[in-house]
Amino acid sequence: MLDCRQEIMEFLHKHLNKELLRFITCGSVDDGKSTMIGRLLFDTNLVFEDQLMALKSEAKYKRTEDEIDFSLLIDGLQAEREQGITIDVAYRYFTTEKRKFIVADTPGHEQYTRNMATGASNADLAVILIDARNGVLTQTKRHTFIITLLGIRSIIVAVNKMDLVDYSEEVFEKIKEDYKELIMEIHNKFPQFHDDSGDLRKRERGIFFLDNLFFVPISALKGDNVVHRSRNMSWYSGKTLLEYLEEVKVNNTNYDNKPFRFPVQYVNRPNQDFRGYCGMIVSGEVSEGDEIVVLPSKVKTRVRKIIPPVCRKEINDKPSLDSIATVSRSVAPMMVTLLTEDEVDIARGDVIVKGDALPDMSDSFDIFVVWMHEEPLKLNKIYDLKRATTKLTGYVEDIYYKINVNTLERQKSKEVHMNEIAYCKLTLSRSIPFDKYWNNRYIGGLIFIDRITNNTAGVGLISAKSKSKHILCYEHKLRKVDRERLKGHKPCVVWLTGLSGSGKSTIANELEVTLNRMGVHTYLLDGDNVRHGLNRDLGFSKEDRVENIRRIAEVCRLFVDAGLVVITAFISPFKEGRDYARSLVKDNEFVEVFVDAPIDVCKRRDPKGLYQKAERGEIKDFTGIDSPYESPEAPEVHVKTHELTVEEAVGKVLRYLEKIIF
Amino acid sequence: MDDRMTHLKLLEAESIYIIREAVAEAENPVLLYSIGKDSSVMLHLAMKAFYPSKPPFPLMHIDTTWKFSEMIEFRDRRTRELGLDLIVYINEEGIKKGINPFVHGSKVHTDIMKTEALKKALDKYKFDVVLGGARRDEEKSRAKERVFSFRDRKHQWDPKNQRPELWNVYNCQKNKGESIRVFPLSNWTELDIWLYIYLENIPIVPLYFAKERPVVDYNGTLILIDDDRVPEELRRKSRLETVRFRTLGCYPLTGAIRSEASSVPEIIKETLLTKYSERQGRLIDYDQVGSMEKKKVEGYF
Repeated sequence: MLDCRQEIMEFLHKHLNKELLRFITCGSVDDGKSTMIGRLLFDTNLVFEDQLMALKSEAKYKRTEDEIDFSLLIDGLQAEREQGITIDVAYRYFTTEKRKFIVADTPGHEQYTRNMATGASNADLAVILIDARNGVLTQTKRHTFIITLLGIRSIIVAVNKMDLVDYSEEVFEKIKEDYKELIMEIHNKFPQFHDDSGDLRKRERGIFFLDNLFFVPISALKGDNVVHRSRNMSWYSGKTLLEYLEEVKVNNTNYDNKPFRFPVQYVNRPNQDFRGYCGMIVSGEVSEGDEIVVLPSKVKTRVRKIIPPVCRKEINDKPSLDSIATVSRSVAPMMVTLLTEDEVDIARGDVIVKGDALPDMSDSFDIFVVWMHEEPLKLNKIYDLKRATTKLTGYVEDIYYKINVNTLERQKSKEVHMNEIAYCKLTLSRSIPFDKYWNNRYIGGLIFIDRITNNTAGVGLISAKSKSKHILCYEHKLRKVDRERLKGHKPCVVWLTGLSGSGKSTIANELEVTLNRMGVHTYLLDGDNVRHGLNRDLGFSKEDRVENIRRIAEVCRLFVDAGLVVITAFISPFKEGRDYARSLVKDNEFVEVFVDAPIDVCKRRDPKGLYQKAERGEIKDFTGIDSPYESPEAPEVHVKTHELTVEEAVGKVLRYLEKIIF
Repeated sequence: MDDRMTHLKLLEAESIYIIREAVAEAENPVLLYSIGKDSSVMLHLAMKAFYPSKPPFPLMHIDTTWKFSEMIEFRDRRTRELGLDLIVYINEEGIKKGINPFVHGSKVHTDIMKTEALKKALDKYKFDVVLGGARRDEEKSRAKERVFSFRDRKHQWDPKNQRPELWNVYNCQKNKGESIRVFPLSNWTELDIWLYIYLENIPIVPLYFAKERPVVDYNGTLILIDDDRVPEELRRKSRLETVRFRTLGCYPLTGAIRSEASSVPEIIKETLLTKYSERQGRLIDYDQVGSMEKKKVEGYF
């Protein structure tokens, strides 16, 4: 009985302390990739009942005397592809006593670029499979380029089917040399792939930008050197594939002596007295008392407490600072909640860093793009972007060149299609702090989101800061918070939108008068003061209306920076324009007010006689008549002017404003 | 401080990140709580993610009215202890129709009391982000499922239109009326779940532990006599046996296994260690009990 107990406790102890390795396998079914994965899973003897069952039901495996056709593991992928299901990556799990493995398995043929990039984005190591009979092929180059582009710095080259080349050492050595040359070619053509931050580890096993490069001669079918050492290759003195997987020191991009980066994910605010900033330490470390800088606002403060994630029964709504669990220090990639010394304004999407390792800021970047959607990337088309927890908008201003993944040659292009990779110039609506992707994946990688379909259309990897188009980039000594303090309230944009005649101007004027009496510094932008001056060169065509709103949005940004409550009263019929204006200021600084009245009511009011003119055809593209109005989906305030009096409508807006400006 | 990153620390961090991300971008999130061991782990992680606050969302249990009574006791006790809001949703239409697994069989019962019930509950409360405890290793088709899985207005999943997920950047943008199912435990395996329950001392329903209980053979499955809705002739044939449950659901549809395992280490030993050493690298036939595990795909997710 005692033995049994001891056995289980030993088992538990080992498994509680094991590490995690995420890796991706690259190669096609023909190279024996499935057989290799199957062999790993089975020979480690740690395929548990459930997984075994799943395999069994999926793969009606054939069985000969002593061989199992593990390749049928992959059948699931095949079947689903026929049904048209998108498969980018299938995740498989196995474990030994040393490590748990998460294997990203990607179909080798169709859509390989998109799939492999997705799988590689979360992997620390890649196993590249080469058929010993074929040597280094075009696909080997393609796979290696994609995974190194995505920042993988540890590679194990598994030279498979050694049994079919008589376990020849020469064949193996030739492949080794060819593959090293391939790495050199990538290194020469894409010097960006180097990690030039943090602790540059001794690279005795590495080569160029790689930390680890190992070669293993295997036969997945026969089991040579996968889990068990081969008796057929006495000339090979290295480790087995599994030994490498269990022992390789993976310098995870983010853990080792890198500058501290903390994208704020969530503001935890159970009551007025407690404000915790939740997030993941994506790199570096942080200690109580450290001086920190919040970006992009550049506000400085210190770390007061670091709260780890704990589960306690006695949680209540009034946590007192003394009773909270804290730690004095924490490191990447832990999830923590930071409390600051000073009361500062920090929001989701901000990045907290340390003063001694400030990242560069820019609104314009040179990036590698991997496109993932059927709709190609178009120049100057506005996309939503997400980088870590930061939401942005931006557009690609220039496609420098596309890269042929088979030859690594450059080509000129006006568009980037699905599964293509290009080097481009990206312009954002505002400046963000950044690190080069190969120095820090989580700060240098971003996704493109189509604004109509919300699909993830592609990804961008920041390579360098590019020359900015915006001129207003020098640093002012006096900051926004200083102006806020003087004025005694926070700035914001109150963006009224609605049909002509819905009551925007009336509400805007009454609102401004009321705010003025309350001592709030305001400014009202409407057709009268914008169309006659700033925008007098613009007409009413679709393009001009878009430009009109863009300029107004930019003016709003400046006025908010100046500390004012800006009220705008424009029809602004298109969601895109309003969202653009929203994207220029902080989340809590934009108040979209939907001034809503049925079109019949507006027509009856028709204060300027415009509906009559439009219906007579004297005005073209008039909103509500021959041009659409896109109603706001989730406005901060919604006032129905046919149901409310002017005072009631203004009151509704005021109640919302009071919550955010004081 | 111990900086060593064990696999459990990393899995925990990843799950907490996903939970916070889902909540940060949701308008009206909810955690689907099924009372099983995976739900217990989910709840534990949700508590950790927002400490020292409570999770800013309610728990929702879709109650088929046929759950083990010990599950309901556990559910009510845990939510009371943690001071969380609990929504219990029962498909009243099914109750009116008198849906009974002993009479209508498992498929009809599951469709109406679980799958239909969930859709109705989501429509009623207008939840736009639903956190669930499904894992990718549970069954093969889930190996390709996303962490953030989108549903249209009719709660339908379009597998042809899944969004690629890179790094930890999740695209949570959706149109009005659409919702997202979020699976923070995607990368956990059965072993990880048990190890974590052991390490963190997470309370689970006592039915997981072996104890003498009244059971009866019903269509080849050993079921518990949980209340007097079990047909009379079955109750007469019942006997006391030392059993436990590997998964928990509706008691007439959930098989017990004969077992002496009455602690978490013993469960780990029984389900994982023993089988593994018995097998010695050869494929073994899996038992019937094991195949019940697959039925766990409760139509929910």
